[in-house]
Amino acid sequence: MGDWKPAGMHLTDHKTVGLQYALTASGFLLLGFLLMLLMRWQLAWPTSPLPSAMAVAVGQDNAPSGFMLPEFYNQLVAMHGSVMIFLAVVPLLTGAFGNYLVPLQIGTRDMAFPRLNAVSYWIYLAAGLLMLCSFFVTGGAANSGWTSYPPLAVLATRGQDYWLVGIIMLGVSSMLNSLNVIATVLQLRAPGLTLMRLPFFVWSQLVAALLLLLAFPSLQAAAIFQLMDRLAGTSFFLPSGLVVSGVALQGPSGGGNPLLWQHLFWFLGHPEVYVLVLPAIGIVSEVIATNTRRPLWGYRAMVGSVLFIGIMSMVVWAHHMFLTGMGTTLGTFFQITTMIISVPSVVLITSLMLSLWGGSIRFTTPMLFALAFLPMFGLGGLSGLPLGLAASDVALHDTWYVVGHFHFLVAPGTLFAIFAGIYHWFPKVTGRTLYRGLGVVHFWGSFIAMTAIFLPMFTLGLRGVNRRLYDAGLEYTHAQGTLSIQGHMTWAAVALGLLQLPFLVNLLISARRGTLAGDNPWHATTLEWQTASPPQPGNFAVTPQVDRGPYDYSLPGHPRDYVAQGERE
Amino acid sequence: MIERLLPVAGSEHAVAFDAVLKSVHAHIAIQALAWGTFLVFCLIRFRSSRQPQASHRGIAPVLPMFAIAVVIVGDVVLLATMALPAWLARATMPSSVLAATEVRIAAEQFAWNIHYPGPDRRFGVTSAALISASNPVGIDRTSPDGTDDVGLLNVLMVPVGRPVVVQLSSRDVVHSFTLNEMRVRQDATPGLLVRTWFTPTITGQWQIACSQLCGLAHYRMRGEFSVLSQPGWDEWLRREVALIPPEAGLR
Amino acid sequence: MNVSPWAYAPRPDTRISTVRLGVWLFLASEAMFFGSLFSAYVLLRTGAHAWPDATSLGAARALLIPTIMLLLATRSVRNQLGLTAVFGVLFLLAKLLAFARLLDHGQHPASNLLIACWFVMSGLHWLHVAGGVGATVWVMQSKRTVTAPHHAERLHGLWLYWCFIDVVWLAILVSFYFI
Ligand code: HEM
Ligand SMILES: [Cu+2]
Ligand SMILES: [Cu+2]
Repeated sequence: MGDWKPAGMHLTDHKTVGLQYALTASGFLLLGFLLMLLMRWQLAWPTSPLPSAMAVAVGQDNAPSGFMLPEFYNQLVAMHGSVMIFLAVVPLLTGAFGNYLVPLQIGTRDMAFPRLNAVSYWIYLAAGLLMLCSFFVTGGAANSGWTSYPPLAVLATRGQDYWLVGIIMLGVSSMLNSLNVIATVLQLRAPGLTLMRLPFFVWSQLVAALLLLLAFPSLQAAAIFQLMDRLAGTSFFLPSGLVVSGVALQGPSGGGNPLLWQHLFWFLGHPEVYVLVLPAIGIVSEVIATNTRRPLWGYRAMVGSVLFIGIMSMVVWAHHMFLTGMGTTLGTFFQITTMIISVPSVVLITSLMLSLWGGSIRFTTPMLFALAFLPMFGLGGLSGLPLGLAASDVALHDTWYVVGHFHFLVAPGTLFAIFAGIYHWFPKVTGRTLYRGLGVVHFWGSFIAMTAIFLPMFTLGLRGVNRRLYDAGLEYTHAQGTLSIQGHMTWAAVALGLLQLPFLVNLLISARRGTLAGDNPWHATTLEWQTASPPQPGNFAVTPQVDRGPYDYSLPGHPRDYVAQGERE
Repeated sequence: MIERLLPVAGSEHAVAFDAVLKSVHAHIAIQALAWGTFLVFCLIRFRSSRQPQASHRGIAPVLPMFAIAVVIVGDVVLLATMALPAWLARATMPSSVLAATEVRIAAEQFAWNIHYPGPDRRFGVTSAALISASNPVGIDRTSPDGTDDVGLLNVLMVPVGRPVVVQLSSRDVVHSFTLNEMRVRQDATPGLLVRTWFTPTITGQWQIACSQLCGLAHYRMRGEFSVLSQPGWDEWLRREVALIPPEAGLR
Repeated sequence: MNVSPWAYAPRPDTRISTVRLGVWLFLASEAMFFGSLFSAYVLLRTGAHAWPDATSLGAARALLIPTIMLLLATRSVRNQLGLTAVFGVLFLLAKLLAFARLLDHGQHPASNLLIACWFVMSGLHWLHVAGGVGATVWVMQSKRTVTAPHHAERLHGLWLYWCFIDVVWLAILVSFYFI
């Protein structure tokens, strides 16, 4: 490998790879956000032209004289979802946080297979760029939703091929990354660091990696089938006798099954949502333990729950398909499994809440985000119940209720966890702390804006307004009363964007001028705080020796309110 | 609270379905309230200025276990006594299909092709080759039962008080046939013929919506939907039959 | 490169070496991949009105020779790595010929679902064999640059991979021809 070593670090060092992931995925996060703003603008004022700056950015082809075309709106929806999930949030959680922190928290020098780790990043980058290129091919980017249901996706424009190849590459990348995380956690733990002494964050990464490792191949297989349908004329997902725009489809032999895609897709899709939330819970757990000055309540139950969720998440996928006309046996099975999986999720959230009891709560910036995560994430999870019961799903499926449900999980949920993680570990990564004042503004602003964007979505859904509508429902009488709400949500989204400016400024200024943090500014227990900030290549001068659990805070009869994991008696 | 937002409940099963919806949301509200109160209490009671020294042990496990048990029991009761029965009751077709109004709906980008069997209540043969602007369903008028069949684009008319059975299919991509007021939402998947049914309890004029992204004009894949009184519907059907264009659908 | 103490020797508490664990995890992922392909195949086949006869893919006995080559390739991993690569390449060539012959007879992936499944599944298997040949050559090449225990672990991993490829191939054969 090359000899180019930025800041004395090797390109395969887990910290370098973690930071590469962090920067790239943040770029994609911003992009996903900008795509969303265009979409929101259209939803708020479906009959007016875009403001001239936006219209210029979008181009005449997509918005003749400023009026956005439905074709382009569909691209925005599909690409916002795909970019956010596959290129921004999952890579941030696993690629960035996972890569950077797992080796540090288990007291080792690097990942088990550092070179594969670097390869995983470069494949991810290439896949992301490929997906973005598709905006510039004829017909534009993928436009069949992030779910890419055939036959629509098979009949779609060229951009869908880019999307599919991107997904196949991302599968390879995430396989390399997750294989690495599992091997690292199991094999490279510092002496004495038994599994039940692992910080909860490490457990959450371990289970997320298992899910990616075992579930992503199914989407890869599905993507290969769909690519064949599009390029080689096969009919895996095309039944016989399709008539498109009044003309019988020539070529494909037919005989395929569109539902096959839905099964393969959701076999990944559901575990994927746990990949989006488990590491987030892991981050929040670390922040809460540190800032309550007491151990996580029910650590063992939490570990059990996270493992149970991992297993169960493989057998709930068809709750996304209640309305396809599935039989009663299957339907009953998936409703029961869905109710069962909701229990360990409740255990996780409840344990985190109970951890506050008896604590000595410090309202640091990361803690603000972590605390807000609890109710927001809780609301997201609870609003999944009516979607998991077929009888209530009928009224809500494919409405804005669903959009509200999963965004509460991933935006004020996971994104807040990511913010908490950034404020918490920034001192470790850069050696300097972020300013609190700007952080507090960022927190309250985002908290209010997020609520204002996503809470109204539940009411729209209950009123029966569908999602993925280019005109926000202008065509439908029952949606007329909701159009003004779309405008409010858009302004809230604009405000959310502006409120990220204090955060960006904070990052830029603090990285240079922030107060020096020292090794352990939060007086935290886990191993990453027992080395320099930022950690030198190789992480630890001496390999830590562990003989205690991860959260020895406020031990009775101890002079200090924490005993670090690597400390010897 | 929720019922103020929901569209009118216009079918028999809508009542049971709405009951599930309301109970789940009550369950959600209780849980959210319990969590919320606990959270706020903790934040005030255990702030570091009031509680400089944390307790290593924390809360005793009895109460939390009880709380989680309550949640589990709530889930089970909800599922077993309301959600599953309501859904299973509708999964089986009404036994008296004879008394039902039957229609066939073929979805396509971006319209609903609706086939009524006409006064003889038997569907005539259809053929893709016969589809035209005046015969959107492609009814073969020479087939024995086809002479009185009515084929309409985007117009669904049904009589009140009797079960309506919809045989749903799609010609091209996945659509989702949606009647909000009837609490009906059913995917139309090409290659699959599914049946769904409902019994309207009130008359009124609403819309058919498409709930599954089906292409660039998905947002306006809308149809008219009316529930008429039985005499009104009979009258409507008679008029439609009289309007059948004489030459369309003859091979 | 940092080398952890348990890279090539079993770690006492997990009882496995890191390299070997990595291979097993990789194979688990691969198993899910082929598992998805197989379940798709089953779903399509059981849902079909009529399923063409597998002989349209060529007679089963024509596949005997490639199958034997594949098994020989796996057998040779332990003692004759060079032979593994040779047999692997022979398998690849034989299959390539078979694919070409199919196309010549006008049997395209677009012809029917059976052929489509065959092209995709045995095609992806073909790519895996190609990968196996590449890995074999790489292990051979780098033998002198690594320690003996390291090489031994790599050989074991390679052997596992070839076994996996064999199992997949036999499963494809059986499910297309004999069920
Ligand atoms: C932070 C602010 C965000 C806002 C305001 C926002 C807003 C929206 C809106 C308006 C829609 C489209 C609704 C429709 O027309 O159906 C949407 C769809 C979606 N969003 Fe977001 N979003 C945000 C963040 C995220 C994040 C962080 C993720 C993922 C981790 C995400 C994942 C998705 C997905 C998967 C869809 C569905 C796309 C589809 O229908 O295919 N969003 N979002
Ligand atoms: Cu799911
Ligand atoms: Cu549609």
